[in-house]
Amino acid sequence: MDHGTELRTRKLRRGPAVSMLLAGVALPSIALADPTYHIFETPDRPSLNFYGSPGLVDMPTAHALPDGQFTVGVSSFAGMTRSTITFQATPRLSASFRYVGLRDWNDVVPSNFDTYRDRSFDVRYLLKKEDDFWPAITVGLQDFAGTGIYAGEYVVATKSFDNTVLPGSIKVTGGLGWGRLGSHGGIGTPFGGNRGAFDAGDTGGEPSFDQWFRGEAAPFAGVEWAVNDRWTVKAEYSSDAYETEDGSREIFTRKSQFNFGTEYQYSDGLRLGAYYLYGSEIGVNLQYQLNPRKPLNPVKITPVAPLKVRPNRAASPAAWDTQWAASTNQQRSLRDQVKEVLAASDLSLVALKLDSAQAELRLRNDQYQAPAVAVGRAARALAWVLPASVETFRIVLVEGGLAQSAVTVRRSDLEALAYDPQAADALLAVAGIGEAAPRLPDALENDDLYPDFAWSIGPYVSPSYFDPEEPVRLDGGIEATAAFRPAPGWTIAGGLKHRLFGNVGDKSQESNSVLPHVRTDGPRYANEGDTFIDNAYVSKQWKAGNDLYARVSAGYLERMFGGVSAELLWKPVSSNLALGVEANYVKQRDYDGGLGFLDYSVATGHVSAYYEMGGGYHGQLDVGRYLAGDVGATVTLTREFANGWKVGGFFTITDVSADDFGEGSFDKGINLTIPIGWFLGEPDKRSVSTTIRPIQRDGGARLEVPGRLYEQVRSGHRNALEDQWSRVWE
Amino acid sequence: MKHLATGLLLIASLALTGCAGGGREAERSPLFSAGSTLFTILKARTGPEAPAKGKVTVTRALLDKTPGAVLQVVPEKTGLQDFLQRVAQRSDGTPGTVEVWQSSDQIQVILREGVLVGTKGLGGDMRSAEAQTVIAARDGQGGGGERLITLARLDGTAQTVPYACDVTHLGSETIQIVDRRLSARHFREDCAYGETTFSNDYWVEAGTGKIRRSRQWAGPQFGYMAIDLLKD
Repeated sequence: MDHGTELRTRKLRRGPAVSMLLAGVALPSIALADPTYHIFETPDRPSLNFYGSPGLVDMPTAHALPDGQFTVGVSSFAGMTRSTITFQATPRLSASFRYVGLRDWNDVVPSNFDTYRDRSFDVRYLLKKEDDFWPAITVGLQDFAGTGIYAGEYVVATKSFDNTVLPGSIKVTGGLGWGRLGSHGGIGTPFGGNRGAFDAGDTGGEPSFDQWFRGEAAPFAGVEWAVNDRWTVKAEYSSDAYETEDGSREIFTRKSQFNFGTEYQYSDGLRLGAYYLYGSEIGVNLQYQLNPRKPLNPVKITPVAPLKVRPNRAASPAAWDTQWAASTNQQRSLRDQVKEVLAASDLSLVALKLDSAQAELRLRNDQYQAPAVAVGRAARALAWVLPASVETFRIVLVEGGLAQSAVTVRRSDLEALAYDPQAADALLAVAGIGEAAPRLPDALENDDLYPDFAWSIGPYVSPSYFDPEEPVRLDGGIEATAAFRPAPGWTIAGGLKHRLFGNVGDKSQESNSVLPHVRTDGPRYANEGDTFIDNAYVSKQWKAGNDLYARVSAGYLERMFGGVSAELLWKPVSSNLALGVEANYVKQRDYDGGLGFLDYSVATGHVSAYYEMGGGYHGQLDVGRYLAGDVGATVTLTREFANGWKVGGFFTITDVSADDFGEGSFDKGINLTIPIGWFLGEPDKRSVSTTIRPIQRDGGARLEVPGRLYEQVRSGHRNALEDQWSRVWE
Repeated sequence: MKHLATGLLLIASLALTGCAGGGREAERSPLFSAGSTLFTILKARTGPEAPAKGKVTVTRALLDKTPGAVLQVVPEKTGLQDFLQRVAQRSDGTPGTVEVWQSSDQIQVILREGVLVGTKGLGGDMRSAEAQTVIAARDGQGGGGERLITLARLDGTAQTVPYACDVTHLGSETIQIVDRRLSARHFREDCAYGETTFSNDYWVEAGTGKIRRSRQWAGPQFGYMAIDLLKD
């Protein structure tokens, strides 16, 4: 026991520094990864095991999932249910998050819960791809953070054989496991002996470097035979003794190390399996795989009329006359026509400035996830309406009153390249993407845009995950929102919710946090406010310079805090790097969701660096003071897909000790964003986002402020434009 | 699974209806519009408005009554016949005249001298393509070379694929377009890029040199379409 405590204190001191170092090492290597994706590629998809990882029945295999693959696995045997999501973050690296429930936990050994529930993280790295001679080799860390019940490491090799006497294909796997995966049939301790024991009461959550690959190692092996496209048969020899479940807790009786199963590929995504495990138990496994790159419905956009081409100048000189430029009436009429053509594509004209040779159009795009579609349609709208003498089009995307960037195209280039064999690339080569001035003086504006009032009434659901009693709690009800925009950049908005059903507030345990209860009183908030103000605030955002953006907000910013917030962001149009600073002074809101406040108040804020590493990898570092007054930093790494899918992970280390933080030791979680258009197959700029934390504590908690600048600003910058530039003629 | 997921979303959304007004679409609850859009999709698929799979027999009289040029396109995947109208025709820097043909539901098929060089509105479109190797081979005995075709991937990006193509002359044939029998030269274009291949067939009308009939590949999503120039 003494040893264990000592081990943990050492970990505490080392943990953050090593984590930072790891992040520092990981960044360049991720950037080097090559996420090339081939249109005709139909990569082989390995099936999943009971841990939701590529594998046999209970043991892993070595093949990686296709790049970007997202899988959900739910398996159950002997009252042990494991639900796992896995994401292939790079072609070689994958990460999993798992939630488990073990029933009958307290039958033999007394415990607080009948069902033991736990969360765990895995990572896998493909060391070597399979080739004609060598097998694929993967190293994996299972439940690597903390003294988890599933903690185990492995090195595994898999080789496929397609042309054998049997029909279909065969994969043969062999590997060596440590920890849990080395608990039966050990062959010695190649990397030393001492390995901490599983301790259900530990705060856990920290990488347990000093345990990995320590202790007894044991071999495992198996065969997978894909009989045809639908059916697969699996057999394996497991190196897991289920010491706790079979031994001390007597959840089930293990009679054999051999597991058998068969799987059926029901549809492209869904796979179902039934198994006989450890000589005594029947198990089932449901696996679902999807790839963010393959939408449920491909987005179809109704084409616009073909580009209108100007008549030859020598043949019809009258069309090239420039007299119109002197007439305010004619300019207004042109503005109205452009506005109408844009409206047919669901785009809004913000302002238009014309002279005889050039035009600057300021444009609001509320429709297309790809800014290039908006720019391409705007260019064709200008070509449709404007007199022949206007040769240069400057198209400025405006988001929330902020001019994002200016795309400059020559009209003669549009005409020459519309049906060029490489129409999009050729246009990008001659188009300019540059900075846009904050304002366009002396322009013809669109008087219909402001003041603007919008409202909506609809349903809402608000989930809460992973408390010890219930894996998922859910509140739901009716939400009413309204937003009033008196002028560009100004927003007066609010949301009112009424809870109709739910159990988020039923959680019986009071928060045991020793920090100010900035987040852990969530159940009390859910319980005491049936009708509550979700938020209500005034905000103003503006461009303070060509590369500088600013925002000031005040009011009830989120459900638990209200106050004032100010943000400044530097983001040049063509830069991969952005820097921001945000300062807030907030007071904790009353539980009932009314206008009142509690006593707790805090000054919180961060300095942030954002970096687009290329290939869809995105990093963010926030350093500052969090809601509980703790000081530290958050590292976020995200894989972004051109169509708007984002899958990311984050962790926060602050000066709060693991013991004060409580379960989990430090804050961490997963962000997931799915664009609505991916489901619907129609152009749509919106997306749904969720953050999943293994556990919500008070340390490292950040204020939620509506309308943060970075995503608004970069959605129309060079990288966002170029990512989907091929759609400019769509 | 697509149907299962769509169904789940549908159930989730329809159970929770909502309404909104004013302002931007972006502010409305995604659940709300997901519900209404899916309802529309479902209605279109199952309702009485769903298009019938019948084939219209085109007669000369029917064609004469139709103003302008008419192109018949039959995608092999659906077998549904559609009649397209020419909405633009022009010359640009690249050899060969470009024609934009548009269907009743505003999908566009772009041909250069009868060779498919683009589609718009299909989802998974052919963004652009070279046609020169086919155009050049049309008059002679055959030919070929590299042909760049830019295809939309489904994730919003595109890939330019350099196909290696061979055009061979398969001899003269008589084809029937509506009520007219035409003498035409039959060309086949075999293209390959690694493991991926496709074969297009063209029938070039003797005398005019126009491609009157063809079967052309429009990309991995859409597959082949049969194209007949009914009326020029």
